[in-house]
Amino acid sequence: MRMLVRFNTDKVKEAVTANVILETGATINILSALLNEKGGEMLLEVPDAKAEEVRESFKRRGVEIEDRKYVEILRERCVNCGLCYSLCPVNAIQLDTKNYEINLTKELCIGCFKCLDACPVEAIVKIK
Amino acid sequence: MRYRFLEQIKEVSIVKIRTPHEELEKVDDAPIRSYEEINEKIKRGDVVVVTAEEMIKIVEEEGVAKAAKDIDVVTTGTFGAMCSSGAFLNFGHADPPIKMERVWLNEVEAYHGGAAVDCYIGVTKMSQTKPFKYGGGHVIEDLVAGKEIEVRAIAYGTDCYPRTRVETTITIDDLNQAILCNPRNAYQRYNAATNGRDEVIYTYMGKLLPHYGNVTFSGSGCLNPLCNDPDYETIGVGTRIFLGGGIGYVIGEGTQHNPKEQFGTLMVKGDLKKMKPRYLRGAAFAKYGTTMFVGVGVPIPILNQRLALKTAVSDEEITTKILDYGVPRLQRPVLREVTYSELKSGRIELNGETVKVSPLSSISMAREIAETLKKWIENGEFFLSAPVERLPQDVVFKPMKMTKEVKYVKALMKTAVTCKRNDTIESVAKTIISKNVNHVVVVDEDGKLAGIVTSFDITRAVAENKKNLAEIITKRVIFAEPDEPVDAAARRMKEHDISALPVIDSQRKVIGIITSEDLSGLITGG
Repeated sequence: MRMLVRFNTDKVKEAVTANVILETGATINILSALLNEKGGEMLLEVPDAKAEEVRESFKRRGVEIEDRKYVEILRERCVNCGLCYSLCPVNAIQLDTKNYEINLTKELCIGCFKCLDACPVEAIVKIK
Repeated sequence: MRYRFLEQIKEVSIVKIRTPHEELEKVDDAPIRSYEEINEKIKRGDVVVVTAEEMIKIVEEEGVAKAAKDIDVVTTGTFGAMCSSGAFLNFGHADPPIKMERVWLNEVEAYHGGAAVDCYIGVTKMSQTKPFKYGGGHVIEDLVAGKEIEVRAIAYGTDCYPRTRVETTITIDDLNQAILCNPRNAYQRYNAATNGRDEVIYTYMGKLLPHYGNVTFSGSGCLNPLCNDPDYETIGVGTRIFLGGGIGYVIGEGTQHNPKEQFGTLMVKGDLKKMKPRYLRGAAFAKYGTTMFVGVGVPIPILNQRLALKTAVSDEEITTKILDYGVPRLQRPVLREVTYSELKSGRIELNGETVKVSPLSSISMAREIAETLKKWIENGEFFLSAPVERLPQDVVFKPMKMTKEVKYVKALMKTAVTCKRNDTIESVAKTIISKNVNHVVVVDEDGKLAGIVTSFDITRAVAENKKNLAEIITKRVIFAEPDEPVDAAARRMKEHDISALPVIDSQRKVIGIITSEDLSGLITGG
């Protein structure tokens, strides 16, 4: 499963992720990382079986994992322009290049909300 | 920021739409049918209409001669954000009457420079209460949807128009005229956009990720009206078109019409009262502003073989350039040439990487418009009109004449006060006092940018009892380049809420500093 881990200024200086991996033995794959000395966030792919253990391990080290929220596309508002598609880091939003329709695979959405402010017709909304 | 690319550009873009010229010479120029004959067939119900996408296949399979013989009309369509759009509205007179001086519709100010109760609501004008969310385009969409609109106007009062205020609620049915009149629509084709900066930028081409992280493009390629009649043989003043779900007319070339570079545009008008909200959608681009998606469809009569060939233009034959919108200049660096076929595939190669491409126009809506127009013609609900005048083919699109010199960073920058990483906090504090500055730029042994320290950082270091200069240096420094316009530097300071930018050369060597005080008094971007 995918997790969004947020680091603050203090935690970003520590080898948190490395320690979580060593402790849990989880083969964590870093899908994207936007970090600097002030903090940042990292998107992780974690094997489902280890997900809870990894979450707990991060928590104990004082690093919070964002609850997964999703986006939803309001079909009646969407004009299928496709602006959201190129912003999605996990390919949850797909552009069907046959019919030029936008498709969202909710299971893949990690709630980064990069697409949210890119929609010109307010067709993308957050759901809890 | 990447000004080195500027050297590579000579002209904005001269990209030709490749019409197979040899083929064009081969085709028979003789007239096949007239507008009258087409309209007779529409009346009889046996007109043959196909969309521009269908025409590609027909010409490919049947050949030009047969396609020209069989097909009467080819329909086109586009559905994109078109900022140069708006509507003339007439409210009728109040009792006692008012000569409106300023007028607002749902808190969006309309232009009023004409007679008493006329106004023009433009799509990019934003609501005073909901800026960047609701604008003139949304007012037009709401009007067309039959929703109630709050109207508020003020006036200075005259002997003939004594009233000074009016507040009322109207719907489109209460207006005498509601005429969509768009000065520039349906660009023949448009540049594609990407962003080479190290930060996200918000543009009229959408949200662009840093480091060329995505590409956006506008227009529907082979479905674009003017791409199918690139020499404006049939599209001209008086051409009847699909506009916003109703019927409209081309009333001339659009503003910035640039035929020589195949960037033609259309000025269009139509009765807003007969349009549909599905094809006129208010839109808001984050941190850019409001606009409106406009649906335009133009029928192309196949008067001869040449037009049959032209309407068979494919996405592979339509090219444009990908520009770096990270450079806030008129001439943006060109990264590469690209076809609409590549753009429409959703992914392209850029700098050796595969990058996702977002359309900005809705291709599915463009298709729907071409299909709808086709049905209208087949059902005898829409007749073709011959233009009374052709669109100009020889006008040029000039940049703004600038009578005042543009100021660049290098003209305003001052000598930077610098320090080294291993200096003490005390010595930097002394420098700040003796040189009377707020910013000290940290440089390495080669004079390259290594950080910045402000007088506030020093104050905080004292308060927090920090001893080490290295601890308080800001290492990720927002900087300026000497050849940047001052406006761009000023905007960056405002965006990041900072008051100075070190100026560095291409080797990252610090060559000066520009502060907000140096800029005050000049026009700053915003």
